[in-house]
Amino acid sequence: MVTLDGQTGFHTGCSLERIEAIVRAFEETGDVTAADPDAVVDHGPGQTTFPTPELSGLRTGVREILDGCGWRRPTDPADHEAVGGFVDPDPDAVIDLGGTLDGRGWRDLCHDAPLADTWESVRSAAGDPVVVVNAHGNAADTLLLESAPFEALDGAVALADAVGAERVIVYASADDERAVQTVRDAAANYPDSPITVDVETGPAEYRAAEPSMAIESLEGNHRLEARIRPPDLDAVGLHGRPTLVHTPRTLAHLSVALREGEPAGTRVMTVTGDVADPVTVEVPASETLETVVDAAEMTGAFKAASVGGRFGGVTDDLTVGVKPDALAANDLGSEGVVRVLADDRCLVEFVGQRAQFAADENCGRCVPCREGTTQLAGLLRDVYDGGYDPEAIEELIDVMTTSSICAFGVQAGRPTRTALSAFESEFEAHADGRCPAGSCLEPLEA
Amino acid sequence: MSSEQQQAVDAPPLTEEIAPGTASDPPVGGDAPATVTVDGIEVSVEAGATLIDAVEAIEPAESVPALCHYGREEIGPRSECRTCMVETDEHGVVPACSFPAEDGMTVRTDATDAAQARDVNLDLVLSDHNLRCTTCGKNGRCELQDAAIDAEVEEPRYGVLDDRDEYEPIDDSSSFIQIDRNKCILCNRCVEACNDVQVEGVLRMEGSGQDTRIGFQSDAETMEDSTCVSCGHCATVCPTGSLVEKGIEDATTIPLPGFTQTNSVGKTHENTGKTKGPMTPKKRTEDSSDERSLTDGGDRSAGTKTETETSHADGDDWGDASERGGEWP
Ligand code: SF4
Ligand code: SF4
Ligand code: SF4
Ligand code: FES
Repeated sequence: MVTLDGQTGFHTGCSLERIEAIVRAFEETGDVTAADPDAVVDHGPGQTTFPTPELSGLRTGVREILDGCGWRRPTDPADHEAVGGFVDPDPDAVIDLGGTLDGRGWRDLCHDAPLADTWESVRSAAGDPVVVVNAHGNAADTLLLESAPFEALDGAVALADAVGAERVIVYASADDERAVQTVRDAAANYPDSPITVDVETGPAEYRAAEPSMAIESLEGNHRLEARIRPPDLDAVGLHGRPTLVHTPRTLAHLSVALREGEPAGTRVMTVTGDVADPVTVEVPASETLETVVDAAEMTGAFKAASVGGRFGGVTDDLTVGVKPDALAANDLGSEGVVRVLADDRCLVEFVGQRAQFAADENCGRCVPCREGTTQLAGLLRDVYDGGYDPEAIEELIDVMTTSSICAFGVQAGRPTRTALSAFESEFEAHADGRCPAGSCLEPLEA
Repeated sequence: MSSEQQQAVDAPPLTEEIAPGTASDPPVGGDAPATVTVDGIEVSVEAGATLIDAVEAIEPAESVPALCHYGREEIGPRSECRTCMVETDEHGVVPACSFPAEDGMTVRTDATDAAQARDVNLDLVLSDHNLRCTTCGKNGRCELQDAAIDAEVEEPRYGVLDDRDEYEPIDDSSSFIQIDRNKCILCNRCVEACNDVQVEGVLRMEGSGQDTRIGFQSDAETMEDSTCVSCGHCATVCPTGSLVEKGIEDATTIPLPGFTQTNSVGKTHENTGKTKGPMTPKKRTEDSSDERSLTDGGDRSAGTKTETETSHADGDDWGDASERGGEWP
């Protein structure tokens, strides 16, 4: 992106050499269009929001929450202030807005639930509350920390102030180094506030994002396992204090709602899998999965989508809306990650890998998840030997879902459960010794 | 917040040194005395009670094994076996051993989903259990055996652990206590007895997934090399034949000549003959106290990125990390 005096040129998919050439061309000519950009947008000088070009991945949807990404300087508070950020809201106004917002993603303590009641209970609880920003493991959350950290921090600080917390802790994966560094810099530049903001990292393991394991990690436990609940973290959390755990997406929605006076009503979604480049887009909540999937360029013909993160639901129906209730009605997840699968993908193999991943990566605490995921992977392997027993698989997944301690085990069976209903014939074909996609049986027989 | 909870908040950790590897669970139990209805029968319980107290007070419609529940000496609830699931009108299917008894709740033990969950979970426990009762020191006084008999388990859905290659060696190295991890149900009672009751800080929970096991905070490999003071409390609370006092590990076995507990598994850590040193437990090696970037108490140094398996955490999303599922098939 080259920008000067209200005109911006966009270059996509640049190598380092290409970037050097673009910079050289601009230095020589002073013209943002000198190096033949893929798109040019004319906008007024002093533009505070992203000037969206007609380019794949960027033209889709709207930009309320992701507005600052790629445009405002991530760690410069002046840029955030220029769009009306750092409002110093009345605590009651924050709580009221919480009634119109819900928690984004399974890593949020209030996943898909309105926020106001939980905020109110934390505000009135005895003990010093803490606000934890859980940025561990979701692409959109990492993007927000890297590109617009003040949206998350502004929301977190406003919330801390509203519930009487003196401390905000940003928690991210130790692997997301750039996000961690950027949010650290942003926190250091944060305008004077009585609320301290710390940034901590946890192990780069999938389960470490589960809210109670995030708290265990912040407490310094050398081994991460989930806590039993109730009471949940909002009553007894970090070092026993009332603790709110929200994702950067949730808090960015708060930050935007505070300055705009009303919620954005959008969903931030990431498309990944068999695509040329993964993209994170923001769409109105009235949109369908189709709009989201269309934002990315697929590398093959569409076969299925796994909707809702690592343990999402598998579907071939993209007419489903992106609202959590529409997704839930179709047994799909609302984590905001859609993985598209091209037609050379085998669904039995795909869900088998998810089940094995769950067996390898669970914390080991509860029987339905620790032993259930192992047995699930075994039942799926049995399919290859002709031992396809859908009732046994469904019974096991039901029990994992109703009796696991945390969201990991509750969700771990979802890929298999949904694939069984949407792609039953593939399982039957495997039981007959045939892989319709041709991807997983040959190597076995070889 | 109840005063009990308040205390938990304000009290400093018992000793900084003890690192049992388990989560700091919140205090569970109802805030006030409560009357609940279990299978149509009204039961009154005291403040601090969980639903299992109400279930145990009556003759429930169906058997509720509640395998990992102990309910004494402030041990538990670990709430890991999930063989105590019951249905409530108010909160759906919940674990009775750790769900607070709230006034007015309606509980059923014979609801389909709850009964199925108890059943399947008991079978899942057995799927990872070396079910050789005839050579087991707890034969006839074992809570898992009792639960399986009560639940009329005939043929566990998922079989039992009978692949000898997968057995962990029996730790027969101590003169006081034998450990057979192939019979461990990971109820954590021993770890709590050791850390919270005796305050010895010897045992811990370690690993994750299928590698989850009881181990030693000193990183010792065997009981003999651990800082165990041989108080025997762990063996007293153990529900199964996993921790058994030496001398009785064969006490209840069927006397088949040559067939014993240790050769039922075939691999054993024997006593090395080293004399045990004076009991000055060194809880852990210095550097194992701050392993923020580790979750399994391994030996990689603090704060640095782990060298293996670093990138699969980042949920499903970008680049190579996203491709990682489990090994398949
Ligand atoms: S559901 Fe899985 S990850 Fe969660 S507590 Fe149980 S074993 Fe651990
Ligand atoms: S611990 Fe021993 S007695 Fe109990 S079920 Fe296992 S083998 Fe049988
Ligand atoms: S050794 Fe016994 S008490 Fe300890 S966790 Fe295993 S089954 Fe429970
Ligand atoms: S007794 Fe409740 S989970 Fe084990």
